[in-house]
Amino acid sequence: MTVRAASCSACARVTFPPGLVCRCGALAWVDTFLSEGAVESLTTLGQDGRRSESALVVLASVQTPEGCTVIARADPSVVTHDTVRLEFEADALWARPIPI
Amino acid sequence: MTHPGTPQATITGIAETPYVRRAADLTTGSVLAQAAVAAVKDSGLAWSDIDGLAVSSFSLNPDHAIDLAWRLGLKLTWVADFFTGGASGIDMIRTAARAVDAGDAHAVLVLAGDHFGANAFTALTAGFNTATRDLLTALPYGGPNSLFAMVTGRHMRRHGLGREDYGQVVMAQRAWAAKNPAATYRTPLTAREYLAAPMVASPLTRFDCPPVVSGADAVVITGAARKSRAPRVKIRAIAASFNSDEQQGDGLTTGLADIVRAGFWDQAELDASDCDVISVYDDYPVMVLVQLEDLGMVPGGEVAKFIRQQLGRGGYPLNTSGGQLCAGQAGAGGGLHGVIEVIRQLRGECGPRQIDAARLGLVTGYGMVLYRHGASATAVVLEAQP
Repeated sequence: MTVRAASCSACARVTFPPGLVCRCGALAWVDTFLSEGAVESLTTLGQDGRRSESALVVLASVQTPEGCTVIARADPSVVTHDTVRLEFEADALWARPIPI
Repeated sequence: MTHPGTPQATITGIAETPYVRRAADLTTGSVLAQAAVAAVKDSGLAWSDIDGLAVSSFSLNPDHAIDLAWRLGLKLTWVADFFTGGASGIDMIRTAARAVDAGDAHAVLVLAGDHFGANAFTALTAGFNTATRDLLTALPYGGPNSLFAMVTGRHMRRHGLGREDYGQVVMAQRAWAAKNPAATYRTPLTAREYLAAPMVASPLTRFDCPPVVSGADAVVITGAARKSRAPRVKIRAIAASFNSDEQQGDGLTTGLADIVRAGFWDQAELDASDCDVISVYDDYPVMVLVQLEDLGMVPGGEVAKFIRQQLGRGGYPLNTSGGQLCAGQAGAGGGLHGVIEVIRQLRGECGPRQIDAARLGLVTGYGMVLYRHGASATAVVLEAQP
């Protein structure tokens, strides 16, 4: 599932999550979609009680070309500066590696 | 002389309840009431003198300030709820002092605190706001620890710091906490113990995260001419900034930078170095360092030098209660914890951790993690009155 953001119809600034009023004062938005970005920071949550690699929860801060920064769950193989694909899966925003 | 933008009203009473972990017999109402009664008693006012009430609490829901006024038996001319998180304590003081200056109230009780029962803190962080509920809870994100773990990672890269450097912040505060009988963590902490602590969200360990406690803090604000039993504390400068970067910055600058650019130190008619004691909102060690840099107390780019040459030496008058990292974080009460500690220092009531001849103190507030980092920042300079 795609990641919906909002682009201001007056100044084209993109916000995620979608805003209500743009900082330019405009109230009209058009849907835009975030599809990828660059990982700028990562963290791995504490592993208490989790034994398998697949159970690791890795989170990434991802900067998109549209100027938004989003928090996503990341595939454990992702490292800082990777370009990742953004998508919703089971209500969670994921950052997936893009095959080279 | 007082800067024209500075409130004239003064702080005439303070109180903090014991901070308690896993307290099954408390309620949010009970800790707020305990702090309220103690602060009014400290001020020397009668309960019936209070005619204004400001409240900040995450767990008071579904009640609000007006419900609390009823339950506290207060008849008021001014009442307000504040939801600016760790910045709310100073935000309330600023607004309440202006209400007193304007004559809307004569004696305002400012209250902040929380009680978190089993799973209540987890429930709070899961539904903290719309963005959290819709975008973070399903990840799962584990509360704000993971977000500040990523802020810490960015800070490490910017300044070339290692985990041991953040440990110096925690160890310095633990050294103060050892002199504070009310602190939750009081045992001196070694670098080895800090580095060996269980990882919460890399690179943050248990000791980088404040222990959640139940408790409340209160101050009483009255007009400068009103009689007071307790020593008066004057507000020398006070300011706030909200939503300064629309959650799109890197979290390594807070609204305090805007406050300083807008003339905070001019309002105080001081330099940052003039403050005798400092309480910086310490939800995480990284935010202590970020705020000190925003305030101009650590020159830009000299964070590592500050850690190793000032904090590491011991005795630096920062978060002398042990801060929230050691004393505990009583929810919204954390936004007044630093105020209470600095006023105790200015009143000479801190016993073995007393800073000699403390006359001027700085306190900051920071908080409300809307999506990636805090969106609220406040600062106040307090001065002991003769």
